[in-house]
Amino acid sequence: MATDTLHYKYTAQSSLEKKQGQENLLLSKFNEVDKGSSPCFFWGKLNNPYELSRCLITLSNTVQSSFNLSPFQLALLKDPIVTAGNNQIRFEGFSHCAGVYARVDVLENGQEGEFIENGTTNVDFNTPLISELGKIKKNDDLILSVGQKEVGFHKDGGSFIERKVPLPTKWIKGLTTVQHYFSESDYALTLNRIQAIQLFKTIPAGKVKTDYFLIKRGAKFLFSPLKSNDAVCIGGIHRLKLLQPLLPLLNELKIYPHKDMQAVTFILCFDELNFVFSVSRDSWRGFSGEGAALESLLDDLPDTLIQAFDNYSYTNQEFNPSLVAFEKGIHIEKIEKLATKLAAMGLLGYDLAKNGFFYRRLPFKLDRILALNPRLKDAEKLLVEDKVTITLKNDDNIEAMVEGSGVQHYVIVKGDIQKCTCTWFSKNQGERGACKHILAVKKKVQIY
Amino acid sequence: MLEQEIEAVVLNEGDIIPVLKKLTPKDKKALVPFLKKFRATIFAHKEIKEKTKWGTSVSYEPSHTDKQRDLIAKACFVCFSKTDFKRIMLTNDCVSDDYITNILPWYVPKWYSAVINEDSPWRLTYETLMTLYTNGWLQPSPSLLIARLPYAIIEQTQDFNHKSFYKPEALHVYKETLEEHIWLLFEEESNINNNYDYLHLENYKNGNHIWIDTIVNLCNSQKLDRERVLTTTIYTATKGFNKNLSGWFYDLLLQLNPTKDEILSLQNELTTALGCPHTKVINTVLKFYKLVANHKQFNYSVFIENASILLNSETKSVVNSTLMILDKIAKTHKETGVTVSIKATEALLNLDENIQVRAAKLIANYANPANQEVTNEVSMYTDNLLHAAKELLQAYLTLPEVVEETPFEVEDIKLLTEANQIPELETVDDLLFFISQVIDNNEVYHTDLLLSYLPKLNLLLHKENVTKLEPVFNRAFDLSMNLEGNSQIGHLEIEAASYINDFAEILIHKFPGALADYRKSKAQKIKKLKENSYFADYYKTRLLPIEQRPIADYIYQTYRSLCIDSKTLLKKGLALTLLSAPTHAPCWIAPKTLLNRILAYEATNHTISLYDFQIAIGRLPLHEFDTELIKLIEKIQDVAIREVLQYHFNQLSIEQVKITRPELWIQSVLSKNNADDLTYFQELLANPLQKETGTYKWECKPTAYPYKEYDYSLGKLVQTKTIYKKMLVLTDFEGGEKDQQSIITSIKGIFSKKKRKVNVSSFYNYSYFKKQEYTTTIQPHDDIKFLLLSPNNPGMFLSHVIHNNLKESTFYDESSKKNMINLLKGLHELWYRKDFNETTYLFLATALLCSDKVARELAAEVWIKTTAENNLNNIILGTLLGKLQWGEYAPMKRFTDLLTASLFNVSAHHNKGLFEVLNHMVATMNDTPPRGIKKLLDILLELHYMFPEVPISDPSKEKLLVWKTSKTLDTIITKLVAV
Repeated sequence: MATDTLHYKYTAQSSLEKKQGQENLLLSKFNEVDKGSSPCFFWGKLNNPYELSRCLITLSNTVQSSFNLSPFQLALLKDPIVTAGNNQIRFEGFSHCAGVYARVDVLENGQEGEFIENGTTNVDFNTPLISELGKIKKNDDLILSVGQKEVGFHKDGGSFIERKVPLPTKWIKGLTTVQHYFSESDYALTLNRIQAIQLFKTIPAGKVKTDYFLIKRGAKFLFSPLKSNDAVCIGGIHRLKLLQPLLPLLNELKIYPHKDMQAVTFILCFDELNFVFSVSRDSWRGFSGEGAALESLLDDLPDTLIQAFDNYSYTNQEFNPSLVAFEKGIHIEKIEKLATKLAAMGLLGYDLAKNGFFYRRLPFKLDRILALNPRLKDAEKLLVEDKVTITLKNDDNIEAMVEGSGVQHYVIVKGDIQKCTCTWFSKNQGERGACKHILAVKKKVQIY
Repeated sequence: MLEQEIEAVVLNEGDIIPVLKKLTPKDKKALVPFLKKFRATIFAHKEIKEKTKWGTSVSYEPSHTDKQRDLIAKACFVCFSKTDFKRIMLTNDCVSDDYITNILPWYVPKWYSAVINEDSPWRLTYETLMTLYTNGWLQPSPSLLIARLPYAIIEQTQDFNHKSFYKPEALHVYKETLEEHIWLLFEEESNINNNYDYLHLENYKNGNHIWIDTIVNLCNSQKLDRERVLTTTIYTATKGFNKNLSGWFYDLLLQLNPTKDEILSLQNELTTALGCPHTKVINTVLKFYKLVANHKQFNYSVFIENASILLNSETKSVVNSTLMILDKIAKTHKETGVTVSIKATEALLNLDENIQVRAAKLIANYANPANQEVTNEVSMYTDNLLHAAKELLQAYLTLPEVVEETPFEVEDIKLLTEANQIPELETVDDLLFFISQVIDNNEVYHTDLLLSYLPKLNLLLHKENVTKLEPVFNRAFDLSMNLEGNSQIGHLEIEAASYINDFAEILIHKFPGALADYRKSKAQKIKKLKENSYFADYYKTRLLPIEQRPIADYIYQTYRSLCIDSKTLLKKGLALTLLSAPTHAPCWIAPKTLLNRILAYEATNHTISLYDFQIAIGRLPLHEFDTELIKLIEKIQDVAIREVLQYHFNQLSIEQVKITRPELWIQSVLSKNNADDLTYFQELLANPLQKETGTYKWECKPTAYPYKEYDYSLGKLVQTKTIYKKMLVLTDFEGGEKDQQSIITSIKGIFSKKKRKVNVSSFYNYSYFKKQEYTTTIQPHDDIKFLLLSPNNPGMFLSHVIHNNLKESTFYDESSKKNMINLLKGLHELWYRKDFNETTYLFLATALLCSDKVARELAAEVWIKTTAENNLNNIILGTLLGKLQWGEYAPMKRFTDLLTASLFNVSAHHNKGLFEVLNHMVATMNDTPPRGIKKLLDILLELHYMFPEVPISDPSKEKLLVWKTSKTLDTIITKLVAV
């Protein structure tokens, strides 16, 4: 996989300092796309300092975790991303292995401060900062500053903190595709604090290879290794242990499984604060390798449309598909694909609690994001090399032969049913997205 | 010129320093290409060939002398850039005394600090590091200092003995050491906590505590600020250190023995440490807090605030300590009584009786039942309360204790439903895409269905569509030739792939033109295999048609035989479905479908295969019957088959029939598992049905094993002691008695002049394992398919699993663990009747005690499901568990943990079942109470309180009275007997 380097360059180290009886949390920001923006996005008081600090520690633990990599790779950590705007602040991060996504949403009434400018940025999360966050108590006053409000605010102001980390494309791809998974997840159940603690007590010790299923027995919820109908399926269940320190603090726990059980999302609700935590199908499968969004990406959207959308949206604004459809004269059916495409480009995040996309532009160069999805690229290559022969095409029925390595694959697309004789399809039966052969056929006949 | 000069100095081992000193930066840069080549030559090795009495030996030795290599290294040090120097990996040289004396005083490369900091050369000691630093040559990074400082207090003699000494004075040589460097050890992970044991210090014997003693001494002698040491030590808990290092720092804290005043002044820091994931840290903080909890300066409100995480800890000591501190707080500050009580309710989630009682006492002492807030909070935990806690909190429980028990309704089990019906495939496309996935093991029944679908597809193929199968043929061929294992599939998938290969061969002959490409590519692959002599024999056997291919293990003979049946259909051009093809997942066959299949065979005059028929009969759900079937059965022309089916559906008694072909009857008799029928049927047979039913005698007892150790003085292994392994042994499994019996029976037969008895042939004849091709006895993924061959008689296969895998409760390899997990999942699906034989129950009992947590949880699920459906005989299960624990098959704690976590309090009905299990378990256990039995008796008592009307069984009561002599069990047994 192509590896790029992400060069973080912060003006100062993030820190937490006590001044005049208040805890001041300065998060140094850096955005490789928009370097010239305002030095500060948000400055103000956070209402639930104790819970928030614990959520941020858990977010940091998530970003630092990896469930399939060596300690050497672990040492090269990425920083979380903060989105501020529309009266909300979101901190999001991704585990190193691209299989666990975490986001802290500070809701409208969770802060009393000033949104000096809207935007999304990387923020420096260093070890001393995390250590300081652990000291925040319930009644402390916590002032957050995303970026420096004034030069010299911090004692190290002016000195640059630089860090280079290899940025595998899968990390950004996971960050973008997980939003699509959210959009395909449905609310399943809500647990109170006691039920949540009881549930998490049933997570087995150590690393577990078997799938676990969330079931209800009497009034108790528990994880069981036995597959049962309609039960929420969780692979690599040991990853959920990251959440354990937050459980005694939460008000309720909401669970949103993906429609095909390809991911599960937990929302830990505190007062005006949500912690969103999503795990991929299995610990060895990152969100990045999944092909759920591939078919929506087949459609080439004009750059002007994306640009226009980018221009008139503002951070954390709810994405309004019908408005875009109306303004730009696009057929409403295509809008869903537009949302997927925009999410895959790092322009949209998904808020499960509100059940809708919101605008936020990931602080990475767009070309990094666009050059993803190898399966899609392979499908396009098949078309360029003229390896796709449509053998039958009528209303809702397509048959094709696609040249594979030394063999002709047979592809059928009949309404919702699509099949191929290749190994990928035979093994996964479409659960992990269409294979490159099906994608190529669909692109050739222009049905997405 | 310079190049020659350097070359000459090096080769002649002269003095290179004057030459290097006169080099200008430009000269240095120009010399780099030469030095790279020259260095490679100097550092090269030459081959030495020597003739010995065993032939020519080849060895290598450096082509140049040590001195020459040293000289060129110095030249490289002076001329190379950072990248070039790092590449030659000589960082250790440039911290040597030689460099420090002869080069560094007049030349320090710009990259020097960077390289030392990055490479952290092992030769660099803290002392050398400080020499380099004080001379201004090196700016050590914090991580370099952290790596070197821990060994600063160790001195090693340079003589032959290499003795090591503890020398803490070294810390006082440079003022930076105690002012700056030592504090770094509190900031990042280091090995300050280990690696001292192996040094065998002459003047210090306390091993890894060396730095603890050093720091304590420094504090005592006021060389280090005690307050700062205390604060930084406490904060190590927030640095993300590993468990050992965190624990070590808290050992240091304990050693520093902070006074009560110090603890009170450090409360903020100590509270921060409570967020640490390591128990040692939390326990230490709680230990300190216990000392000051009743002090007026103790910040009790912050503690109460933080208590939630502590009360929900998995570690009992943490919960206990927290409750103790809360108790002290409530005692000291009366006004906190309600807050503390509400907080303490969180501990009621814990299923440990002592914890619940402690929390309950606290609530009872400091809260008032009239307080609605407390009552509400306590009542949230009602379901979780154990008897003792419930009694203490009686006044707080809002719901009346006696709830009208709703009669338990046994769920009606339907094995054949729409949800598990397997759709029947008809079109070429459907069949084609089905065959593509058979070798991926997507469903357990796919390999079964393949046998019917290939003959069906065969009739639908023509030269236009046959090429669509090429990808499948390619994959099947590759899989059948592949030597590497695939963890997602079993050997049956390889068998299926081989059969697809045969199918491909048949089609190549039928459609030579259309499949020419495939034929070519296959030929090329075979050619490649031929070239690889290593695999020559291997591929030849794998290319044979299935009829001639060697078998991987005996048990695969059954599937092979079905493949051959299917191939016969294929060759004949018949699209008949095999009788044993499941119609409902995972293995069931709808009776009506089976009857129609039999009629179809008769209509086409195709002979029914014996094994196919036997498996099909075994897959009929026993209770699925309607009168419509009688008419269909009557249409069957084969009298014997008709009678078997009439018997199977209770329309005919076995005694009414003159059985001439017992092989048609065996599976039906075994499935029905009617004792009288079995006896009657056995009378007809020469061979006992022990293997077919899987019923063996067994025992679990410690077996003596000689333990050998290597004796160096004697130079051989000698037996030093005997170890006892607790083994579960099926005593008559190996069949020693079988031959004897059959001889005796046959002799008896001759003299009794009765009708000659016959040996019954069945697919069970092949049901055994001999580890032929695989190191693993039972292939994971195949295991469940073997079980599903006779879902009404699972004991037969499970007896093999017990014999091969479960002699001990610990799994000896990953595969046997997988076997257990797969089989439990299968058993969960097919356990629909109470009268499975004892072996099936024994398997479940071993699963409940085995070493794998997932397997134990699955076994618990089987118990929960079957108990809910009233399909489990809990008396048998309890008796077997007790018998296994008689021989201490597994630690009792394993079982009691499972009891509390998964089996206890599932529902009132389950609790009743569990009481039955434990009630009968006690009776069959050893007279000496097993270790950890008290917890089991606690649960038994808890259950007995729930069902006081059910008495403890007499044998169990007797056993309890025997155990009563044990002091620890006296109280609990008295309570149990008194209920």
